[in-house]
Amino acid sequence: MNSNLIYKIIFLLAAAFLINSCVEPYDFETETFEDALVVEAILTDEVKFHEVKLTRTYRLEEDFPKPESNANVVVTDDTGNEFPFYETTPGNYVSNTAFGAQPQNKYQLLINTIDGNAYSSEPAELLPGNEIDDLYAKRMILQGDDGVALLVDSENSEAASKYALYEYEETYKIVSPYVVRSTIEFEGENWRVVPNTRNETICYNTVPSKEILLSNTTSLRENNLDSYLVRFIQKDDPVLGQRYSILVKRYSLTREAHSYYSTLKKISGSESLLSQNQPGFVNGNMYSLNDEDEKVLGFFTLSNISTKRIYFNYYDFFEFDEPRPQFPESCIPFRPGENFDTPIGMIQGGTVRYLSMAGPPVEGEIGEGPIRVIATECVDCTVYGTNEVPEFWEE
Amino acid sequence: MRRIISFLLLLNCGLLLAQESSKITITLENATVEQALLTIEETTDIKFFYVEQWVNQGNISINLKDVPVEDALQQILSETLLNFYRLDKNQIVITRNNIVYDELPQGFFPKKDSLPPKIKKEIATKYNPVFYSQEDRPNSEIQTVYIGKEDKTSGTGTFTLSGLVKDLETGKPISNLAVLIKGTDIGTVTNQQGFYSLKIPAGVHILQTRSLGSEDITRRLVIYNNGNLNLDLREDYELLGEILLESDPDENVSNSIAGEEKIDIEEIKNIPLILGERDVMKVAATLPGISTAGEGAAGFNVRGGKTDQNLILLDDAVIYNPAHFFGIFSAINPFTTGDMTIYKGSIPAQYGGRLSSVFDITSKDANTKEFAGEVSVGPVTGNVALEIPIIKEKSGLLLGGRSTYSGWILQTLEEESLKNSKASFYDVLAKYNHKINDKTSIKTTGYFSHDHFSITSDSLYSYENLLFSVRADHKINEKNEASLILSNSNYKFNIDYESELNNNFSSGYTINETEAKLNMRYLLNDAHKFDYGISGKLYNVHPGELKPLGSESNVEPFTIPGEKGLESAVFISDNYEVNDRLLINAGVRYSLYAALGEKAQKIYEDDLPKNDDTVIDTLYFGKNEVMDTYGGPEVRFSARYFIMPDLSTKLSYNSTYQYIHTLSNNTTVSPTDTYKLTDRYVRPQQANQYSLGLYKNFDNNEYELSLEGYYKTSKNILDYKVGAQLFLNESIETEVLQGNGRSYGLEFLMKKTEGRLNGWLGYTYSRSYIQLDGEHREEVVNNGEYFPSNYDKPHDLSVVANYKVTQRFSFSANFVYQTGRPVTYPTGKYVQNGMEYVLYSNRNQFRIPDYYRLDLSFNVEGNHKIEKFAHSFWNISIYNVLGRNNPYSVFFVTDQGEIKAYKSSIFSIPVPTITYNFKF
Repeated sequence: MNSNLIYKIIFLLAAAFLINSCVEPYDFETETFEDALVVEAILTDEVKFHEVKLTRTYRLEEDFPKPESNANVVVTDDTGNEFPFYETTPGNYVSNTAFGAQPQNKYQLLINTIDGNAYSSEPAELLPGNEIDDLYAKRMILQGDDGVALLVDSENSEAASKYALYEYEETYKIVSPYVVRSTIEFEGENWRVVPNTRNETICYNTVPSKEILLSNTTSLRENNLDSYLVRFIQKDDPVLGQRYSILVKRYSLTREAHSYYSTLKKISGSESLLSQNQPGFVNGNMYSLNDEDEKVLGFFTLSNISTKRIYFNYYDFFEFDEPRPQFPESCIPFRPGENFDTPIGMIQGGTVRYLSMAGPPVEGEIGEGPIRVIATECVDCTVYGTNEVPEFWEE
Repeated sequence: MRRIISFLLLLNCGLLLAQESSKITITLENATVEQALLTIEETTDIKFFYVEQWVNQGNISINLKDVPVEDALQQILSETLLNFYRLDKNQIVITRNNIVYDELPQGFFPKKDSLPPKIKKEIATKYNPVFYSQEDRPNSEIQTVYIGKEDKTSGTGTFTLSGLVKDLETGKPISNLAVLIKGTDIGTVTNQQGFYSLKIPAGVHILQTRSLGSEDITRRLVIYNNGNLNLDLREDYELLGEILLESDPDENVSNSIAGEEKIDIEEIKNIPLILGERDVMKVAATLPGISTAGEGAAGFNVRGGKTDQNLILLDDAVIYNPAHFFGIFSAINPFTTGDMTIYKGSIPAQYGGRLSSVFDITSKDANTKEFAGEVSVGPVTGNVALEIPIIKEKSGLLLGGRSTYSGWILQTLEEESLKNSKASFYDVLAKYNHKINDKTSIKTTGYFSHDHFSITSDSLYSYENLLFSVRADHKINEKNEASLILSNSNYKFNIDYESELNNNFSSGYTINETEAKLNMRYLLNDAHKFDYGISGKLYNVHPGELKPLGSESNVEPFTIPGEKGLESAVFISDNYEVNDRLLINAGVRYSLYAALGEKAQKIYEDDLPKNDDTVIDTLYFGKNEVMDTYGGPEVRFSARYFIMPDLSTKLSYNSTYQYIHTLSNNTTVSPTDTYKLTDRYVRPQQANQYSLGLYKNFDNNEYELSLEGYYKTSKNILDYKVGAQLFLNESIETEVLQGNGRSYGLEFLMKKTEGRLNGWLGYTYSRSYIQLDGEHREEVVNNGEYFPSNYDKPHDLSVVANYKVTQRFSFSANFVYQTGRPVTYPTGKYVQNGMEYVLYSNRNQFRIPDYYRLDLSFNVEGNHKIEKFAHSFWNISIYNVLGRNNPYSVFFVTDQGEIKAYKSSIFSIPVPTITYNFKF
């Protein structure tokens, strides 16, 4: 090679290059359906009428599970007590007597279904748990998103279980952005404007948690749990817009129960594009007494329970110049049609509400019809919740 | 380059009429041959056919009277290399070197079912005089070389051809170059000085050379006598069109190793690229029996084996994670790599420690004469390799480096969740080769690769391979050779987690292994060649640690105690040529593994599921105290039998032990997979493989055909309980399951090694099953029956084709079809605590849709002028031309209490790439 020559390196990047790697929703239908019994039973130390829910598995394209009715449900303990359950609504069984699980006893759930199959749980026990010492809200930026985090601190006694399951129930107030004094009443084909007497300006909505929240303090310095994140609400989520309340329930778990719930969480969680978990059947502690290979779903869980509720308002965490998010996002009155037929038809259909008779044109309002209307959800908050104040609600 | 006269018989002929006479009278003085011939033509009606250049010589003075024409010609041509042949009464052909025979020698047609004769016998049976015509020469570019002059006594016999092979440009001798005679089993390899010597029967032969980095040449030899043929080879620029897998043309038929594949890196450069990377590992996956879980999936499944059952060696050191960016790129730099041999059937006794295969990758030796280099610019990566002579003709240094430009690949992804992620990688390699003297040489290699990526903004993953090896080769005497190899390899990964909450942590995993190995070779005689040796390997694993990150963090520092193990082995094998037909390679390896302390070993109650509650005792072992030992003999047997000269059958039986296991709860390989050493509860994996193959070459080895079947059983294959926690778990034994594996398959491979159109077609039908049938309910999968493994893909078809339009332009194509891999699908859903969950089918009961893909590429080679300072090469590729949206996986997520199904794919549209390479 002749080293006297000078080499010019010409970089060329002329590729019309693009990777399109994607994750897309996929319509999936059950090809082979497996029918199995599903047991939901959490027995706590709280003295109350405990519930057991029995359902069957259902097809992916179906919406609701079928209840398992007319089953014989009994909880027994190792001291010879039996707590029979009776069916209140299809698939829901409630204990005949109020009782609370005792830490020193072992319990078993026995089920006889109407088709003659018998199921049992393995003997399960209850471990003492920690109290929720503090439940608090904090404005913070999490993974780049501004919002409010709901966090739990709990101090622990050494005897308590290091595993816990959390559930929450959030309730938020909804205030309709528009208040209408008049509404339209229909009598057959006829209609007339009447005063609006319905309470549809202030509503409340209560939503249970939709994820498995677990804590495990085995790797922490002490058995204390600090700033455990229960829920994070982004700044623009309208649930924050007025007043918000959350009830957090903490259930102590045994190691087996924790391993069951964490496996369930792991295989149902989102995966990264390039790695996949091995999914499979998650063994609980329920099994069939007739057929060893029959799949039974669910885990008969015994727990110590601790609960806490807090309230806060939007302006507790946000400045007055930060526009509050609301249900719905935007509300603009408009004047549909050319005569009464169009707006009246729409009002009768329920999509819009009467606001007022059209006066002189207003800038920004679309249409030239005789009635000003507005989307129903701008007026009626019962679209989003109930107008009855929840019993526990504190202003 | 020296031009050798092309063999152009019967062209440019003189034509004259002469008198009818069988006897002539002729007088010549200082005449050339041509003048002599013309004189004869003038006086007779004999017509000569000859090449003008040949006859324009000689200084003939004769005076003959009434002699037969033949006698006269004899005398005229006596001082030259020329011969003659009388076609009929009036026509005589002047030939060069060769005597034209007018009848076939006895035994010209070998008896049916006879073997390719050994050299010594060949004299009688295989002697092939010059009877070829234009049609016999498939490629007129083949140059013909005449060795020696034929005389009547040399018509039969074996002659010695010897010579030196040198690099045309650097003049450095080329060693380890295979010099072969096509269609026979005659062949040799050049020694360190580039010298070779072959015993060849007289006649016409096709001589071929095969090596890495040098062009492969083909010469037509016409052997008349002992002679000399020196070859000057150019670096492999011109063989653009070739996609050759085999280094020896008939090795596939003649060697005794069943299930061996060779890949020459230099020769795969035309294969369509993805994102501009020439990738030897991807090429490997187009061969029968070797597959990956999907595009973008790292790891190979060889003959139904798990991805952790492959021993991947880079210059004798194990490379734990040979993938960058999840497997889309290989961590093996194509510019520094010489060749790769894959043993997927019969594994030679010197290798051990993995069940399924050995990928033996060797880096190039640096040019010791002149500085050389190669640069490649692709859309994602840049690559430089330099060869620097240190001591002229004695030692050289090879340096290679490769890197991504930035993490912008990920930013172009459409997937919203990946937009904010980053990924980058680089790798470097340095190899120093030093020839101390003719008998001793030393090679040392260092390699480092680094990857880091983040998929969510709060966690950063990184992983690194660090390898080092030294190899000393010494020729003790004519019969004994020794190689001493020392290697160390280190693999580690880190996960840093940072969020606003005070639970930030850094966690990591490291495995380190050091091996010393002595390979000896003893050439007892022609029939017996022994390989034997001893090796010892020490593993040191840091299975994981968790450290608080930042002062705010309340994460408790946590370290899983280290693991240590010593794997040692002795081995011996004999390559025994029983007779002409039967070649046996029989070996045995005895491996022994000892798990070493220190460790607090938990003891679980027998007959109960292993978990924290069934621990009955803890045993303490001191540092380096032997805790448990495992071991056993491993049989490596392989035999070849010639049914016909170009048809052979091979049979092999192979048993293997593996003492190290990958822990992964992904269905595909992930960089955060960890490796676990065998201990009290995790037992070594074992496999037995039986294979039988048929190998046939056609048309002078232009076509190679093979059909191989195998049946493999294995035990103690590691699997896991659903949702197992594998990282940072001190009690792995509570999460793992060990079961049996069973796989079988039939592999068909057809290659066309030469010509304008070349390439290969591979088809495999194979099945792979696993059985997990533990004693307890939680240890049983699919009721304890055999079920298809994650990588069970019954049909697998690969076609790689290359069409050379001219020397400079070529097209290539790559087509893949595979049965979709098994997955576990939902068979229903259920509600628990107000949330929907999926009920899954039996493990791997369903399959994702079939996979197919076509890639095309167009290659332009810079011109071939030697004076040109740099040799350039363009590759324009389109990956996935059909735009097939191949599903990589289908998965189900419970989001806000509802089940959602998703399908992921990696490259769902055609991906064009331009890459520019140049060599200097």
